[in-house]
Amino acid sequence: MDDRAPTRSLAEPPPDVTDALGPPGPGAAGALGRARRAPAVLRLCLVYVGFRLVELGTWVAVTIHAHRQGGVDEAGAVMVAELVPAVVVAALVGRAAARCGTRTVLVAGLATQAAAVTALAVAVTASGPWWAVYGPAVVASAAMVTTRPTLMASFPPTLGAAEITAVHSVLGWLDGLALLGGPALVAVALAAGGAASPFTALALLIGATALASRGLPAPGSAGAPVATEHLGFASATRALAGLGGAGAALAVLAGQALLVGTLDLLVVVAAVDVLGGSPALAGWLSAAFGLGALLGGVGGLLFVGREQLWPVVAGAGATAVASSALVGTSEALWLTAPAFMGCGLAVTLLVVTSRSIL
Amino acid sequence: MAPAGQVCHAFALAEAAEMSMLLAGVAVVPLLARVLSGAGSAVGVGAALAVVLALATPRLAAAERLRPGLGPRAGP
Repeated sequence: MDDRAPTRSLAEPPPDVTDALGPPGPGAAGALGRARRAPAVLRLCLVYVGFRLVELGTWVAVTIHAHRQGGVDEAGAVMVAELVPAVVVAALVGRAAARCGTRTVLVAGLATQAAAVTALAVAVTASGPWWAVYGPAVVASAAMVTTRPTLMASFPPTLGAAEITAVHSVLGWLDGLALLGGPALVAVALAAGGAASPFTALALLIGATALASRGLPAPGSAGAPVATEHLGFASATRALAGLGGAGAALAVLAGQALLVGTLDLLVVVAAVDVLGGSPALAGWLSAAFGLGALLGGVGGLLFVGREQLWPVVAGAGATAVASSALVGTSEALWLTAPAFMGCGLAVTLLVVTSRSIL
Repeated sequence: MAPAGQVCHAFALAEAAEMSMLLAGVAVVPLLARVLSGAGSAVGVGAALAVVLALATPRLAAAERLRPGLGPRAGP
């Protein structure tokens, strides 16, 4: 590793932006247009949405399978078993990318997910023992945390701050789409086929996504990120600590994730225990959250090119707090559904703005 | 734009933090459910989020004032 690789400061404009991406246009549309003209951005978005559909679909499908096998206790235990190794692997991704390269880690992570979800489909089809089902689920979950960091590091270096915010807004919109589409894909596959059908569909999708990721530009080629392979773990950590706001952005991301984790379980509690509905109502409340997330992604485009994003963080945070309070206190569907929608909208805006700052 | 290695490292840390918090979110519901009925855990988690935002937002504001590169540099 060579820590002496040339780096640019955040405040320094990237070189040749207008040469590479064309003349600047007005507002969000201009930023989006310039980002779209950058090499690999469309493919990056395609890989991202494929990955997110499979990530969310697998999460829901495994939870449903575990719930069928052993009820809430088994579902909760499997969720914990999936998340603990994921936390450990996530902490090591930066080091692995510095050593092997972001593109290598990205492709290897997606290939591992494809293999694990395929093994999961085979095990469920063959009614295999619990370890044959949950083992691949844990491996898939751990491999999934490699994708987002390496994809985010694959942004073309020619993108400026406004274009980066525009791409993050599109990714936020795609997140909302995946929040609706992933569980919907599982529901349709379950209805049309059997217990193994969702896993088969997800295995095909992640396989195609892994193949598509190979088309992202290799380090050193035109449009590929700079200095990817030469930044050591220690220097990256020091540099990150020196960037004002990185810790605060991480705290906001962690806070919204706490809320999302809570809502993952509360959606069932609210639907069945509080509102007295069927488990299907939990699906509709999840869809309301996804719809809010979709709107949040589109709304994020309004803030492209803003001088400062912290007021958006503050506003979205206030909306998230108010909406979660409404989720906790409402006993009527006409209040609970918009509250979940508000949570989805606010969480997406928090993610879009915090990641742009990061 | 920061070097890709830094970006990857930052997002890997964010991923670890998000996964930890998802885990905490899954685990906190049964604990809060003993004190708060029904979906009341959402109120407790919302309050925790409010504290995080109250601490983080001023730091973000200060950081953005020192980091003009986040503004509409390429705008008209």
